[in-house]
Amino acid sequence: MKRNIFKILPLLFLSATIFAGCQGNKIVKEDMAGQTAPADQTQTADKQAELVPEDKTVSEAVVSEDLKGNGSVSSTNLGGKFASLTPGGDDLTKKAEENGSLYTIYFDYDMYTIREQDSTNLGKNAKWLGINPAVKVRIEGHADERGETEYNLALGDKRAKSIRQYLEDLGIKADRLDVVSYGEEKPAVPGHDEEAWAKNRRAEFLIFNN
Amino acid sequence: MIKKKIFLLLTIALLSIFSTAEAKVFIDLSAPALKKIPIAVQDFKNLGTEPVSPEEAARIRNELLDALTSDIRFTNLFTILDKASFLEDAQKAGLAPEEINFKDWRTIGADTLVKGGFTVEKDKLTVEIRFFDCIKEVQLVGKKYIGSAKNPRRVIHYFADQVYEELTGRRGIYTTKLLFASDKGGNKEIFVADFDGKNATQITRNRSINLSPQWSPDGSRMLYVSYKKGTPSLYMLDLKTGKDTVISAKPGINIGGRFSPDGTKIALTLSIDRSAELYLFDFNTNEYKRLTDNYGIDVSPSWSPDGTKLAFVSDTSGNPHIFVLDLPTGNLKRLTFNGKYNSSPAWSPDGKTIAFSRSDSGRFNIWVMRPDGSNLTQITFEGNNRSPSWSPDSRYIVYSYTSRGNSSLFIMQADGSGQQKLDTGIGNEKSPAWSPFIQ
Repeated sequence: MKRNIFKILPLLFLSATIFAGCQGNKIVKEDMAGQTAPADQTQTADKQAELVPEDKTVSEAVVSEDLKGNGSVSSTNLGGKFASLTPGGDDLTKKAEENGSLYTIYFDYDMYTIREQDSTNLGKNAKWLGINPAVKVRIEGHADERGETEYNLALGDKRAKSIRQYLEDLGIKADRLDVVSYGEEKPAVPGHDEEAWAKNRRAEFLIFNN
Repeated sequence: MIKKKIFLLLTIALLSIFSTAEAKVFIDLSAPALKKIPIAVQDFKNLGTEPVSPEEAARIRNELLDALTSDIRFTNLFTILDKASFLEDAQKAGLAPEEINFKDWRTIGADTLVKGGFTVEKDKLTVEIRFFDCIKEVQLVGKKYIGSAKNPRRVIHYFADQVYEELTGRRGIYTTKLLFASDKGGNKEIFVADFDGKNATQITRNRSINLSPQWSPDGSRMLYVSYKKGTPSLYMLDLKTGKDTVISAKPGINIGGRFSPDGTKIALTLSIDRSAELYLFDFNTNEYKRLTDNYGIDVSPSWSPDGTKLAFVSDTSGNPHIFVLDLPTGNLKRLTFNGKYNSSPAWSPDGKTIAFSRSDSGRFNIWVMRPDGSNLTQITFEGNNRSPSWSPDSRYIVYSYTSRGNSSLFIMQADGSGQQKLDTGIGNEKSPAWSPFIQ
């Protein structure tokens, strides 16, 4: 409504001008007109102060929005008792029981292929999933902070899916393997050097059902 | 008789509008090697007789002056003179042209001068501002506005838009906005701010991760990526009503949504078909059309202003490079061949330039090129600069500058000159998106 009034203001002004002209009056701008500025310029006289329209880019309805998300999906991790690769327990089973996770797999910069040195740990994860058939895992793909947000999201997605493919090739059913990419949004360590970046380019295994 | 008179007056009015529009191009932006004009920006004078607390008067005076100085600085057309050299007392001196001692201003080197005054009545803020040519001793612009005392900066930005247009013949960007993401509060949320970073306001509050805000062509809606339901999905928030809609929540990633210039489609990246591919989502049919098909990553689409092409990032040639896809023919053209990592292409609204960020060493800088890949030019050299986004007049680029893991927003001119940090008061700002012209 205010906006409409604002829109017609110039029209009102124009008609007032015409009206004044019809009366044969000289159009004189008050006060704000400069001494040499012609009277027909857009300079506003005191009596025609312009209304600055209200800033309506974002309404109160948006600012007061309070949608609650479920935050991190990692919070659904469950601990539990698992079968071990070696009798009497092992490192991986301990990890699963204590942290709800398996071995983390790392990647080279801007790469989503599985490195030779990581295939041992990934093989152990696969074997372990083989002897714990009720377990479902979420594979979380991550990137280091370098690069762009969106590319890194795709990179994390590619990394998680490379892992899933590798496990599928080893006989783990795809319906036990959920994937999610966090891109650069959830670094494992906070640093800003190669040491930190190497730890952040990773795929984590999180147990979410057993 | 009266009719004739009205017609004559209308003709005169129209003629004068046209002639003044032409005559008023005081600054020709297309002129090569524009010389900066020295300007004196005088303090605002409290003209009010209404009782207003000294603190309130000081707050308004400071905000007016700060916004005015900042807007003038952003034009990159003026050199702002040091206030210490001013010979008059702003609170005593008059504002009208006949009250101004132009000689005094010329003495300190002020070719131009801005003066203003204000009155406050409860929430009503009245501001008058005058702009003088001290050489010719004339007032070039005189304006009076009624705005809100809650946001004095808006009155100045509104004035700046009008004066900029009168002086240059082009539309001003001073009432435009920025969207950006920040994780300063613990979770990454989306914020909106004035183009200069001020008045920053949080607009998502879901305590998950929110990313990549983008404007609709009319500035009424925002596309963004959120993890609020657990996985990265694309949402659309109506900035007027607060209505939030899921656009795409398929398995995998649903990211990088960009409205087509006519607002009928969204280009986005989905990874439902195994690899991250570009798609078009059509609002009319609610259907998706896949645009790329390869084993690699295809992300960050940017529309040409005519809506016929998409610039985007693909790693199909080994590492990330910029490509352009012609939508009617499906022809794909590779634009970049150097640099280890090329990303976030941003097509300028005038269609003439694509800005992007490139890295050879892990540190990024902003580059520009023509849409055919020619005239490749690096425009930032210091630090780590990413995520360029154009102002709607194609004169400026906002981008994120990162140092030691902390990001801030900067604005520069399209040639890389006049770099200025934006102080949003939020911290660790990323992924800026400049709004279209609003209103």
